[in-house]
Amino acid sequence: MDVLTLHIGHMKTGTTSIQATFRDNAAILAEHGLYYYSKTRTNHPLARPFSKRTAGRAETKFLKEFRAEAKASRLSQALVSSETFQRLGPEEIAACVKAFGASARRVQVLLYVREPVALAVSAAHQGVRSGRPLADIIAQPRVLNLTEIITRWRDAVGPDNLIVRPFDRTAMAGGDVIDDVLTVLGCAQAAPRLTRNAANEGLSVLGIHLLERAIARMPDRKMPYDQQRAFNFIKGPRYVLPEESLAKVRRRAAPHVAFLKDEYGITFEESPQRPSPPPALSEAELDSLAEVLHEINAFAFRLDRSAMGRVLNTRMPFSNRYTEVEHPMRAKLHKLGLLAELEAAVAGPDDDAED
Amino acid sequence: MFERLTLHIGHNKTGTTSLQETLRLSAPHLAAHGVFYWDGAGNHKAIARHFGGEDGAEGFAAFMAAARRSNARHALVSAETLVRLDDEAAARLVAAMGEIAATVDVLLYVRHPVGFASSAAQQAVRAGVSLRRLTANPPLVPFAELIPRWRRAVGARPGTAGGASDNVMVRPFERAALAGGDVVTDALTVLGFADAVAGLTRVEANTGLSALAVHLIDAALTDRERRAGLSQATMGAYGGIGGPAYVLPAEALERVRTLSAPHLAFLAQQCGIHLTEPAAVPTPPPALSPEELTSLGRVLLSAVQNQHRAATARPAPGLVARARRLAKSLRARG
Repeated sequence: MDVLTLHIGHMKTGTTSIQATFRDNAAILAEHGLYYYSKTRTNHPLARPFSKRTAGRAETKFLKEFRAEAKASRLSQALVSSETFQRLGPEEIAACVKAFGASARRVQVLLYVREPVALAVSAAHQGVRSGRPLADIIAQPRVLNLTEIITRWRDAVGPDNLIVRPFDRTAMAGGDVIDDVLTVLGCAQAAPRLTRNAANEGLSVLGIHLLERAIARMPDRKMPYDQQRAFNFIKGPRYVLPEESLAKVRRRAAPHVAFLKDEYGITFEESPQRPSPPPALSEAELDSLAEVLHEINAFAFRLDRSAMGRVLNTRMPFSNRYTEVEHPMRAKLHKLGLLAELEAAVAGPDDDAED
Repeated sequence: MFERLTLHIGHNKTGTTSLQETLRLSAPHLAAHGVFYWDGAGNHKAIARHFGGEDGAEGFAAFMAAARRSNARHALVSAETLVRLDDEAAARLVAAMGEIAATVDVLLYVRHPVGFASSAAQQAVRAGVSLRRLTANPPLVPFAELIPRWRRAVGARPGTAGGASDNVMVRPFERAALAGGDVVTDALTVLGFADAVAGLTRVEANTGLSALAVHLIDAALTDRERRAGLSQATMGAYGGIGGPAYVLPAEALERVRTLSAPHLAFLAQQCGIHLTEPAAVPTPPPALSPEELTSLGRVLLSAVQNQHRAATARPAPGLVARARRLAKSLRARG
């Protein structure tokens, strides 16, 4: 293999959409000379063995499988995409580059960088989804140390092998990060053939406040993403951090913005995002709404994953559940001619879920 | 044969569900006190449907059979849908009840129209009526037509209007005026069974909806869903949404005052009942954009309907029998 590209993120630059789209279209990408490992839902299992924090997961079997598949593919290049790479320290990066270097003559790194205010706002949405209280996020908005991330990877692969691209619609090929990645890798002609997989939708002001309260009711403040999806469909103005938080982001990100300009000539338009007002409902109304939504969603989530739910293929509204193995009882009921009628008993009208 | 049979005809939004559920669950206890309350169905609406020309013959027959087996002195039938019966239907009902009781009388609770209208509006939104329509035509109970109709059916004794000796007993649905401050205690007290109050299995049902819940339902329902209305069972979720209870807009309340004036005057003159207007402050619509309200309403409604389907799913008729036959034949084949 000539070139192996490590797409290291960063977070909130369309990584989930890239990864889901590439996973679903690995066969098409292969026809265009690009190998993408699609045996797991994401490529994170290929990155985690290099991090001291996650090495204990014993996921090296995926790396072995990747190496064997990549070699057997006889394709000229490969792409591994995981924003987990972004968190690696210098020693971890060295080990990672060395390991992937065994599969290709050259390892290059691709990094998308996003305007810090837009990043912090988007990361706030992600933070709430991960169970972080909004008050904490507002006090400590996410600012990436881009200078450090870039310097570390540049030191490891050399300046010529580090590609830094702005996550900016006006600067990306086709105005889209997937098209841009393919263009950077020289596979632009594959772009029209891909079935796109949009992911990681943002949250409205009302949606984020209700989701935050719902997640607070979960053990350890952890809620599976599929259980969160209904909150994506609560519309209204998109949530934006308060002004004091945005000012903090601008101040802390200033040296990194200057670094990007000096070293890579990348400048960002100032984000047009303005702080969103708090939801115009009382605490009692928000709390009770969140409780009702949470209780119903939790019921449906459990039902879908129960033996009965899996036999009858129940699907909670707004679910985007990843395909899983069919329950063996379904085939038996189908053979007996009972499945369709049983399914009909729990089937409802189509919901508003959008793919 | 009962000495007396009382038809509790409502009206709706006067604690009827709580009363009926309490009486149903307490039927054996009431029987021990000499009161027959049919607990063979969830409620007595089948009787009203039967005499209203709808289905319900089966339910009515079951009631009559159970009533004939009872050796209680007094029977009580409770269905707020009885208020919908016209003169002829009410007369037929009373005649039918006359076959199993020496005396048939009527118990009616009346609520101030202003309080009733908002409470009934909450119920109507659930049933699919739009808030716009409810504001233009707020719910109203025509006491001046209803009470004479039932007096004609069961026979009034002139000069005893509203008193215990009238065959149509009209009681104010006002906490201060109700025996024990609640409608269950009051009903049993009025009927002469105050000693049965202790030991009842009480049920609190059908509490009101908040303004936010009402607007969320109204914003979410599609035309098709409006026609079907929402099941009462889905109300548990909406009942959990906090905030001030829904009150109709000022213009609707004003319309209620105007339209109800002759009926309130009738109550005062004919029954000696002076209902006090409750301090109802119209609730403003939630401070959400139409987009927020509709999308949140749809998300909630989809989740509620999904849960309801899962909780009430029943296989098609005959499917279980077919499955059993299949299982039997499979077993026979080894």
